Amino acid sequence: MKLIQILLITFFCTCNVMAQPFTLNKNVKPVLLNLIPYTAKDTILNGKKNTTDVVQVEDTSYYYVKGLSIYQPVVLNISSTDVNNKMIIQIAKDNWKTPDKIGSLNSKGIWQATFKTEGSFGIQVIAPKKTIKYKIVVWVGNEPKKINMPSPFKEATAAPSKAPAAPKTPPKTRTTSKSKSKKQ
Amino acid sequence: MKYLILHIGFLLFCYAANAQRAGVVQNAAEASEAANAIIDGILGTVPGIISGGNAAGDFPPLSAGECAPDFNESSNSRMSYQCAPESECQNCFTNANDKMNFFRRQLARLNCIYQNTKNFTTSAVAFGDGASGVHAMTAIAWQRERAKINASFQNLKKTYDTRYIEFIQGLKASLMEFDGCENRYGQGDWYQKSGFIYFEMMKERYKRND
Repeated sequence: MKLIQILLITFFCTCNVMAQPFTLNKNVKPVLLNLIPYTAKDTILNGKKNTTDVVQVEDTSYYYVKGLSIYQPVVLNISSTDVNNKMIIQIAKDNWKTPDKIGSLNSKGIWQATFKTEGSFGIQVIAPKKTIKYKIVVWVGNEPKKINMPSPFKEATAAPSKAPAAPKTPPKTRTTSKSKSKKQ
Repeated sequence: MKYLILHIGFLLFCYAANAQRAGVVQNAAEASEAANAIIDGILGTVPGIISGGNAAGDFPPLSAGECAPDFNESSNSRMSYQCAPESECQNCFTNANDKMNFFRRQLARLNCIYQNTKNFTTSAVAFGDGASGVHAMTAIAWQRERAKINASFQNLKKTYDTRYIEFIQGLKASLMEFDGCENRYGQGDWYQKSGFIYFEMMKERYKRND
């Protein structure tokens, strides 16, 4: 229970820090892409999703996704049925002016990125012509209960000293860090 | 009643204005099978997402300078332990191990939140300082904004320190569980001999130093 409380506290601390990339331009008002639960056929792919259909009538549209953990995988897919759509997609973490990823639709009308990030990220879509239509799909995997991390153990080097209580089943052999790490 | 209708009308107007600005036709917050089918198809094209156990480990951080958890420790601080596989001590060690890994993970994430926010703050302040002279926003207005950004970061420092203490105490409690297991099944005074060095290393590693 205490672990859950700690997790929740950490989560709330994160959310208020930086919800979207920084800008001084007051006209930039990004749209929040709400994440809702997603149940997949394969439970390992359960997580959260957002699908948004857009008809963009302005030069540039801004969106953002928040509430992410660095332990969650993110898949962002933007597609258009108009394969001649030459829109530019920019993904920014800290500042809209310094995007971390830039791309455009491929010959099938799809652009996709996979990454992990803490907190939030912003999506900027720049349209070359007045009206464009596209779909944004965001999938965020659940945070795995266990993650792979190296074991902090090494093989014991000293002989066992006197134990306060006799073991019910004394260990017959010494283990190595390899065997311990299997549990993680 | 009239005011209520006016108020609701105004809220609807604001909503419509925002929707128009973004040009969003449908922000599909409802669960639909069609949307799920699209996502199923997309995920099918992502290599290794299932074999990786849905973990983000193989995914690159979004930003090149973004902090990603690093769990590697120097060999000097690694701990020794004694518990044979398939023996009764495994239950005791597994429980303590799970708790310890939970706090390792939380400490690493806390550190990344702090480092990322620090980067964000530094970048925002530098950007604002550079732009305030030429941007329409006056220098005075920027100074107010700047103070807010810095105050927010100072607040985060306090939050970090509070959480750091909680997580470090949790880590120590899990190591003391190991100590109990070792006292019962392996070497006595395990914490003093082995756990203490690891704990001190972790304490220093995640202590805020600015």
